[in-house]
Amino acid sequence: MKSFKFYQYLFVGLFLVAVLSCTPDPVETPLGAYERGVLIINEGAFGTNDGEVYHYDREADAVTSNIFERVNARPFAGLVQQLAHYDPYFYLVANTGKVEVVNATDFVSVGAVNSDALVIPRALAVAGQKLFISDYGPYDDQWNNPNSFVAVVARREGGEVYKTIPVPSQPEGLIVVESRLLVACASGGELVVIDTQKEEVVSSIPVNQGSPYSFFNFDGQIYLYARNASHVYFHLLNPANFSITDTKEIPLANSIYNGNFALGENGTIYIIQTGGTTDRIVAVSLLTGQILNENLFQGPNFYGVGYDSAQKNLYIGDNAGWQSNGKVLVVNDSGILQHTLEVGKGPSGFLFR
Amino acid sequence: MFGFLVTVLFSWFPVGDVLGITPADTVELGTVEVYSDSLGKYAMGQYILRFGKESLEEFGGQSLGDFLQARSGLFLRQYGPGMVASLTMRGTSVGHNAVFWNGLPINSPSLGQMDFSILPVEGFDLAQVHFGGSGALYGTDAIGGSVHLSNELVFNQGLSFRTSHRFGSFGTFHNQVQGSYSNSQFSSKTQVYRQQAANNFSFTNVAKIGTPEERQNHAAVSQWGIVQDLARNLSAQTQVSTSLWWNVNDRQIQPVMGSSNRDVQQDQNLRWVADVHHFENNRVWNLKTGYVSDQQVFNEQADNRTNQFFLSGELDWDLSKMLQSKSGVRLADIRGNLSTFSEDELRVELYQSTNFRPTEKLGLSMNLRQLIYSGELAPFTPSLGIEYTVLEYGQHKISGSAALSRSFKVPTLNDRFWIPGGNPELLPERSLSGEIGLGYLYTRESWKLDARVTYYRMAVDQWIVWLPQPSYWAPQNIQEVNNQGLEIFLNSDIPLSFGAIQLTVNHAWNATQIIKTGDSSGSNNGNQLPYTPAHKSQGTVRLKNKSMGYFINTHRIGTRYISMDNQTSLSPYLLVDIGIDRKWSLGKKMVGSVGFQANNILNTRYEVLRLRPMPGRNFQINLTISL
Repeated sequence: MKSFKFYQYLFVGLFLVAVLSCTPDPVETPLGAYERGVLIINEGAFGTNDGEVYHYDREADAVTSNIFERVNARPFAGLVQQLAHYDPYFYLVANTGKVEVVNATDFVSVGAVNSDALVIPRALAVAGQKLFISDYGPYDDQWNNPNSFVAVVARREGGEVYKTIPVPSQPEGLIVVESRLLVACASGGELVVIDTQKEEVVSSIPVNQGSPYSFFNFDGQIYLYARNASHVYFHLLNPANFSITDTKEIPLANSIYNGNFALGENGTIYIIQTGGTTDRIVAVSLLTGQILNENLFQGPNFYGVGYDSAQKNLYIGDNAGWQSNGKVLVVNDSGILQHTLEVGKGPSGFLFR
Repeated sequence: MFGFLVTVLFSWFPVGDVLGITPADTVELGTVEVYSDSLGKYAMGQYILRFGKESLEEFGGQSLGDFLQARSGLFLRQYGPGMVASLTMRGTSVGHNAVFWNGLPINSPSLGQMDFSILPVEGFDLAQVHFGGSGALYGTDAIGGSVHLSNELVFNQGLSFRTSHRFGSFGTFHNQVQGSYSNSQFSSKTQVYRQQAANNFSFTNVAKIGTPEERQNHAAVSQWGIVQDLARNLSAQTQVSTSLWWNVNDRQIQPVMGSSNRDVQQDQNLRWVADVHHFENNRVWNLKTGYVSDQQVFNEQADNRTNQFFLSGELDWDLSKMLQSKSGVRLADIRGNLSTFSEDELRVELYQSTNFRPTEKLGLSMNLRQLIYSGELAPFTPSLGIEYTVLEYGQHKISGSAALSRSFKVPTLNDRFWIPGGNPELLPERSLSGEIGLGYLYTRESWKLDARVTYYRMAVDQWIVWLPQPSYWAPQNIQEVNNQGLEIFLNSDIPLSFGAIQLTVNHAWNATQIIKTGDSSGSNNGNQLPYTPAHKSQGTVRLKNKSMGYFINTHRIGTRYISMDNQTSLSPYLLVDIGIDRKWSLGKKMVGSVGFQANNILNTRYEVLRLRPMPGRNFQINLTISL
């Protein structure tokens, strides 16, 4: 009996060795060069199309410049409005009229939307296999954009725009909620809901407080950020019909015009307040609608802000008055400067990985 | 103060007779050419480069910007073929050079600069470039130097007729028709030109995935214009002349790679000038009036117009062989009707120039100028120049020169009044510059070698920069830049048994050092200004005989940084052009020439400004007929 068990164990053991030896090793793909760290969006200066993405390796404390050009051996050649992440790709939206699609791991170019239909693209969202791109459309003689639209592309890797959906003026941020695409139309003062299957507008919700800029999720709920010269507004949306159910109105004047802000810990939001020669980082509470710190950090030429939840640091983009390349000021949540990074032209946003 | 200034400026007026200086022979007309001021007369110590009609005609159908880029040591920021071209001189900004047409300042008062792409070479007969700060001679903008365009009329030439035609690559054609008539009392010249270019050259579109080879498809330019010159001798001592130039330019704006812009721009420029010259003993009186109207319409929407009316009076007086004096006053009534504002301005300028030649070898120029704009005093601008013949032996002559000058730039109408952002409190930009030069001249029969080296230093402050504000951009007097550099000029004529060789070499070294800029961190201090190459070289070899001409021309533009941080740069490039020209005649009356040019024969892929491609190898055929 013992002998039988021995052979039984031996057999099972040999079987396992044989089977396991024939099974491929677990895949151990090395991390892509840009899968960790901070991606810094440098918008670029008007008329020069010198927008780029820089990478900051926190552990090595090293900045890699121009990663699009470095990887793809050609300049990005556009003004970067947004770096959207939808695995397995990054989408670099250029407000000069194109979208570049790169692998999210290594930034290798895999496609693009180079369509004459794009005029001034602002943001991109992916729904299924489709790309939806908000676009200001052309300016009229009063520098308004009466013919704004959302462009639709059939493939996640890019291609031609096969349909445009008219929306109110100056569409900015997008968010996909199940089969719906929400569009924040800044000048139109509306939140537009698009059916991503039928590719048509199904409802429009007026936003009476502030110009709507962008959407974000917090604590399982969808918020719409809006601003005007005297206030910022956080509108809580009803997930069923996207109507505004609650609004936090905060008396923060001169919030930066590009609608940049950063969501920190426990509903703390950091907003740039512009002030001529001196700009400030103001901390406000999404939960209470109160200003927590009206001058967390100050300096000139603030343009972008991001929050690194891993290290609890604020990243503040300084555009150097658009006279040259900018820098990023890394500040802790007490407002103490940790270090400064030399980056590209007009650092406007951050993506932490 | 003002009274004192006027006294100083005009103190030369009566002294000739009072001092009993013997007048030179009376100046009388009857010469072949219509009288024009000698540009360099009061510019001792500085260099003036001259380009005559023969040189300019090789660029028929092209702009002064194209010409200067290819045939001088000057660098122009070209946004594409036929697109905006802005001149930088001695490392200063594109608004730091003054441009004159027949003595009228024609820089846009709203932009404070000139687009050299809308100055077709057909519009003038002579182009002169005055290197170095010369605010005391010319007024506002002449910080790095100045460019002077003029029309030259002649008497006693009878009736003549000339046509010029050019066809080339990328949909280029140019037609020009000119007729002139002159006798001993009257001279008239009329010319009409029309040119266009599709600019559909191929380029590598690095902004697209796969970097496809594409054809430029939104860069077409068309241009036409008319030039009318008239002159008449009213008496043996009085001559009147007038010129009119109307130029219309219509272009698609070549988009920067990666952009899908479809902008268009129309420019219309009307320039008119009238002169009365009265010659009296050793004095030349000049009364000049003129009108300059510029209209620029962008995307058929933004309509920007400026009108300038000028009136000036001037006395140029040779008091003795040792002493010469020029005194003058210029009034300018400027009316701006821009897309966001309307503003008028009156400018008054008083100036005095004096030459003193104590010996034949030594000459000094002293110039003084005070400009008043909208009731504000611009910086008082003096300049001093000196020339000295160090050695004159046989056919050799070595001369030394030096100059020291202050210059300024009145803030543009846009700087002060643009809505939003214009800042009426802006101060004029100002500069202090000094230079020393060494010249060598060798002449023997038909041999000639003319070489000159100039070293300069310059400091510019209160430099206006537009900086972002909470809601818009606004200008400030914030930047300071120090420049230094070296300019080399060489011209040589070498006679051969079958003709002659002409050699021209120009080199410019411009090192700019940012002292202070709009970035308060100071991280750019010490850097080279963007799009200001430290080095530019140019050379032409021309072989000519009675009926044939050959040339090879090359220019090399050095590294250009694209922003003040000097982090990214464009590579240097070298272009080579060649050409052949044959003169012909048909009977006794008809003569002409036929020529062929190949430009950029190495097919160099290059960009003057980043992501703005320029044409590769291209060809042109020229035909001129004169009766």
